[in-house]
Amino acid sequence: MKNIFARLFALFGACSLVTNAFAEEVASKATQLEGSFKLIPGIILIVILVTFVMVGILNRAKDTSSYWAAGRKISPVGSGMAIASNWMSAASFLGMAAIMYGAGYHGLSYVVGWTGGYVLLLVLMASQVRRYGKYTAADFIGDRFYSKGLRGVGAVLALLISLSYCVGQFAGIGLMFKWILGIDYSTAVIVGSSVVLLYTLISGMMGVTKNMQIQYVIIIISFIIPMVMLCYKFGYNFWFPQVGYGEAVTDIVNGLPAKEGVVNSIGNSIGILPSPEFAMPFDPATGKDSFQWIAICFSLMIGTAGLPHVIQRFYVVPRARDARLSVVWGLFFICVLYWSAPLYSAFGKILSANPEIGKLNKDAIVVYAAQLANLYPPIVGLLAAGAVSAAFSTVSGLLVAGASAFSHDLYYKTLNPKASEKTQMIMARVGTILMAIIVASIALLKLALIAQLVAAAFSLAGCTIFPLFLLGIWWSGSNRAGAWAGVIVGGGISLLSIAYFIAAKQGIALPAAEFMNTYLNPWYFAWIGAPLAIIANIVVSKITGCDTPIEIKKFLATQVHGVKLEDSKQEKAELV
Amino acid sequence: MTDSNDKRYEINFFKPAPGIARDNSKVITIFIAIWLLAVFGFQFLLIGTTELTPEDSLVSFNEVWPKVEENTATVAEQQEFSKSLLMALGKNIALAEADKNVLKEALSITAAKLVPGQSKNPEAVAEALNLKRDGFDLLMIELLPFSLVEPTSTTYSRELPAVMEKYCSHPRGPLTDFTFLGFPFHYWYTAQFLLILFVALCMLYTIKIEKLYVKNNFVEEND
Repeated sequence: MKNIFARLFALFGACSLVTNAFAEEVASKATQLEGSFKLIPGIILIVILVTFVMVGILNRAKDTSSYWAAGRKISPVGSGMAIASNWMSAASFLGMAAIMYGAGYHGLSYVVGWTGGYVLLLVLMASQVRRYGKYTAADFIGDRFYSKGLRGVGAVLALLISLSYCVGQFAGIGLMFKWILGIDYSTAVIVGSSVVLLYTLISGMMGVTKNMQIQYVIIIISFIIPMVMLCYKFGYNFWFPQVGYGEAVTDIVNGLPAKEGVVNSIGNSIGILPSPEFAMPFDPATGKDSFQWIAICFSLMIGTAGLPHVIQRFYVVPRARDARLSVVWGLFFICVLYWSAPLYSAFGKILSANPEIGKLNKDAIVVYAAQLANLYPPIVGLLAAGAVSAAFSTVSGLLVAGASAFSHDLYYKTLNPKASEKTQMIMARVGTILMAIIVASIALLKLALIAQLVAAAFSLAGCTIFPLFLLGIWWSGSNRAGAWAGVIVGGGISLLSIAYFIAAKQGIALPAAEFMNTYLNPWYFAWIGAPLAIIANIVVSKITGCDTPIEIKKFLATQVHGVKLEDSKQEKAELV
Repeated sequence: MTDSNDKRYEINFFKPAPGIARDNSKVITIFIAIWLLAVFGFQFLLIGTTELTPEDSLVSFNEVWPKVEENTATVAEQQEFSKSLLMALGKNIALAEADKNVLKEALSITAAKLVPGQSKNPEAVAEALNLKRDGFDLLMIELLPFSLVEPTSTTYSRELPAVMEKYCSHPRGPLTDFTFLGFPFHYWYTAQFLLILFVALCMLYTIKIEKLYVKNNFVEEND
């Protein structure tokens, strides 16, 4: 920890020197919304990225064990910070405020879904997964369902989920690089992707985990400082801005009258006409109803408990108790940001009420809010750099998880069990590069808002991985045939939903498109996909006699669930 | 030797073995029930306790709309009508482009009646509407340059009442109208309280489960 704070101190020292020297002369440039190079934010970003790479080099992975699971040397608080940093992606930093800015109370389904899932994860999985003792999600699936094929499917699913999740992050990185560098979105995505790829290749999970702790602190500081300043500037409670912005929400609902001379950075009066649709539940003006709220919230929750790169974090703690504690710490650290995110949407709403501002890119509303409020340019820059850190921390974890699935589960465990450590490391790096290229290519298509792209990954995880873990841990009767049935149903529903989405994007009208868009929407298809996959797994397992091998049942009972058997001592010894 | 049907090794959440597995299942069931009720129970409560309530601007609109449509509205009624349209146009990003155009068109038709020949002049229209340079009036004045268009017709769109209804009536009830810590209560509950509850549930579960392990002498194998 001391090391982390020493590095942070050095980092912020460097930032403040640079910012003080240049702040005045570039102040006018930094208040432009788009299209120009912003020096201060650029310098802050470069300093932060160089720090990340340095920490990555200093804590570089030396073998496959370090690369995949950080050598199981992380404390619960450290792991909690890493979980939070890994979790607090561009979707949390930028995407949530974007959804709330556009759809009001509907956006809170993302806030609740992305936090509430941790309760499920803790009570149903964290310590059980740790006691099961496998490295990756595919390892667990392959072992629990005694199937090489399912291990391969698990690896492919982990890859697809990581890919889908990464697309949103790369879009966020592209957006912030575009804002800072004043370049077009496509170039920004390519530049940002190259930097994050380089960093992940150099550091691996060990560097990633260390960096994640630093990234967490940077993300939180960069998110909270502008928040305090916004509340201070507009006369809300700035000592506790997470509470202070409540009055801003009420002001939006009832309207905030303008005062002559009180203007935003482009000269519009600060104020808003009554806009209850921002806060009222399931408001028709937002085009979102209660079904969508509940479906998104539920899908995100079960997706959280099924995300391979999140489950994988429990392997890096030394003991099952630490796995539980790390969830508690992780959730607390996550909530610090999630309590704050709606504030930016509220201020963004007030500050961009005038049509002169035009249609802002919703995904950048966090930064625009600070900019429109005329905050000190280095503070706006820090916010943008925080957004990049948030995306980096998640992308690096996802790329490592994807590389693990590619190298460890697909290549080593399925295709070439005789592969040397060196070959595995090379394959891990090849996997990382391939993933980055694919993700960057998809991110260039600008398919949807960041939070929505990420939500699709959650639904995919909720439909496929979650049922396997849930039944694999809690019902020994779930067998290989049942697991296959569940994967086919969950995967089939995911494919169907995504196929309709792609068809709609291509302008192809498929039958019942409106029905599918409402009930099998790509952002929340897990609300129905997951229950159906669970039912399929149960029914087929029952039909095929629940014939899970006795060794697995014994292991589950004694090692994972602590069932005491009369003759367990001898049997436990045999199992170990 | 044991066979694969040996019931001693069966794990079933709903039929747990006596001891730690049973205790664990009970605790998990209680925590999940609290979690479900707190999250989804509250949303169902919101659905049940709210009803669509018009904004003041919609009430004004509904009062004058029949006369405006029949072209019998007085100047004061036309001013009231225009202000209600501006109130809706002030929602800016919440408006769909097509709906925004319906509102702009209606405002511009009325402006043409109030200030013939100057219907695209924001200052003249602001004066005709008797808008002051303060408060909501100032916001409406700043909206005018982006809201006045060349009307394509002299009659109002039939969709106008529906558009106003869509954007100016909101689900409201006791849980949304009561404020807590400055927030509308339902907003605070969902955005803040639920998150506090999740952290508390996780903490309590960790404490509870460790007590259970001690009670049942369960040593986690990886410790």
